[in-house]
Amino acid sequence: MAHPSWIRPRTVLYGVLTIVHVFALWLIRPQEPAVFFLWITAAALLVVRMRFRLDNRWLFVDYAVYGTLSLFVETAFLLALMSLVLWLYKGTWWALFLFVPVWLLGDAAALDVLALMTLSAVSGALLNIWERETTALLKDMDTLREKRYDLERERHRLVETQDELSRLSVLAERDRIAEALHDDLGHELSGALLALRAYKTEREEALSHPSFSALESRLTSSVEKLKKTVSDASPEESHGLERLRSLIESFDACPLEYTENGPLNTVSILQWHTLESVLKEAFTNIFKHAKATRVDVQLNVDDVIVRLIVRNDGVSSRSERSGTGLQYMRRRIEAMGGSLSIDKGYRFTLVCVLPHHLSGGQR
Amino acid sequence: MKTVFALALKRSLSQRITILLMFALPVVFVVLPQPQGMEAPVLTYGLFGLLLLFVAFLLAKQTIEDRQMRTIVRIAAAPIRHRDYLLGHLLAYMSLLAVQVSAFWALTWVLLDGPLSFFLWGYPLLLSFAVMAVSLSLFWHSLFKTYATSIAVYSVAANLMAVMGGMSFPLMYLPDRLRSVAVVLPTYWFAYGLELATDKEHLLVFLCLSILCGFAIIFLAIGSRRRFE
Repeated sequence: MAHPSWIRPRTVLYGVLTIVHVFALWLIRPQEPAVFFLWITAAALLVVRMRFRLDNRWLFVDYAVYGTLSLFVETAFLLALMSLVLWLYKGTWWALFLFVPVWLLGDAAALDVLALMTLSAVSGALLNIWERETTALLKDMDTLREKRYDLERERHRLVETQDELSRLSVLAERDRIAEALHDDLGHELSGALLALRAYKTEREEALSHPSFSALESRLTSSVEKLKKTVSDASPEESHGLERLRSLIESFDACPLEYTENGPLNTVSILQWHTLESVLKEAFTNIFKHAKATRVDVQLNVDDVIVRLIVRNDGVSSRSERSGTGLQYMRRRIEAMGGSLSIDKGYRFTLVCVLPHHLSGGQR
Repeated sequence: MKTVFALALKRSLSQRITILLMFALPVVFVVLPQPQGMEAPVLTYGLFGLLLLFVAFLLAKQTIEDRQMRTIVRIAAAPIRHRDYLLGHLLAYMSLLAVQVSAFWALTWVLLDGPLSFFLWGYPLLLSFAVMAVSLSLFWHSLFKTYATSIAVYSVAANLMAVMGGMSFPLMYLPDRLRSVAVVLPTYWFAYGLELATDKEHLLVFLCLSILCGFAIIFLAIGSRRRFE
């Protein structure tokens, strides 16, 4: 959109043409209906051209009207020159050849006529150049504005992803703590309780000692409380592999075969989140566009990479350009050092590869 | 567009004073005595032309009212093009004016004396002047924000145009200097066309008709721009 204070070349052109038309009317001073009819036809054409975008062929009509008017009144030649400005403004350079006979039909030696024609031609050419440059500038502005909006949208998405990752990290940490409590502390306490009960069966006199009873009840209570704490600390919401599996199980558009292999517990929260997003995007596209009858999902993890492959036998868009969702995912994955590729051959295949660092994983 | 046409017609017919002006006042013009020495009722037609200017203005006030009440904003969001909205309204106004012109013309032909050529050219001249009046009203309303301002300025401008154009009195009494200025007014070409019709200058009358159409095109082209305030 143009800046409100800009003066467009079109405004200048039609402003000048209007002034010349009014001036021509004053020069012609038409009293006869025929002359005024020609003038008003020219004025109507000018107004219609200002209001609507007319085809260049209408310029011939202008030329005919101005030419006819010039036959009646010589001073109407001024309007014919305005027609020359219009032709050149529209970029029809060969129109100059149309005006040579106009000059010749008049006084061929008239320098003033030649000067006016030259002035009109140069004005038209300059206005044409100005218009082209303004159009190019406006186009660049629109492109930049579109890019700014895209960047803004991407920034929002990144903020949302960051929030989601923080939340998932907290869940994973809680899971880890619960597991550590269960595996380490829980086992120690259970071992101590079992040892105490074994001692009790061997030494009957320990049964009557109050400290021994207190110790046993405290240990029993500690084990119970630890179990409850572990149960409360474990997150109810699934994350990581469980979340991916529940997403696959909830897919019901068509039969789906899922295979996984490799050390899946070494995949990090960020990678799980990325894989989940890619899978969601692939499923959405299958739902919306593909009309697939079968989907295959493979998750492979090895020492070097984490790879997710989604294949379906549905239709795919012939367009080379992916949807905005996949384009955004591709940028994110490439920022992580991975890749996202799509093959639209016999079967639609989406392959997401992420680098796998051995020091990564849920811990 | 049919819906818009029907609605515009309904709204126009609900303006009782306008309808009264449209059909009662022309009768007064017809019964007015003609000046001596005039072959045809040029003055009657001239006064009717002045009435047409005001009737068209009153009919077209719906366009400025729609803008004042912000109805035009709601219409812009509706699935109707601005072109269809405008055409519907203009056709409604033209239908009413065509009925008025036809009734007046029939009445004058029956009751008044004049050459046949005057009456034969009078009807198309009146119709083309009506079209020009509607376009002028549309253009005029597009220049102002409120109806009150629009009518206040138009009352003066329309009367001036009628006086300078020779509609209120015969053209022969118009001074030459004023005549050279009056040529830019559509009212001049209407009055001139009526005089030429009396003199049986058919080609020149046709040119006057065409000039009126030219004015109508110019006013319509400018006045058809959509404004929201």
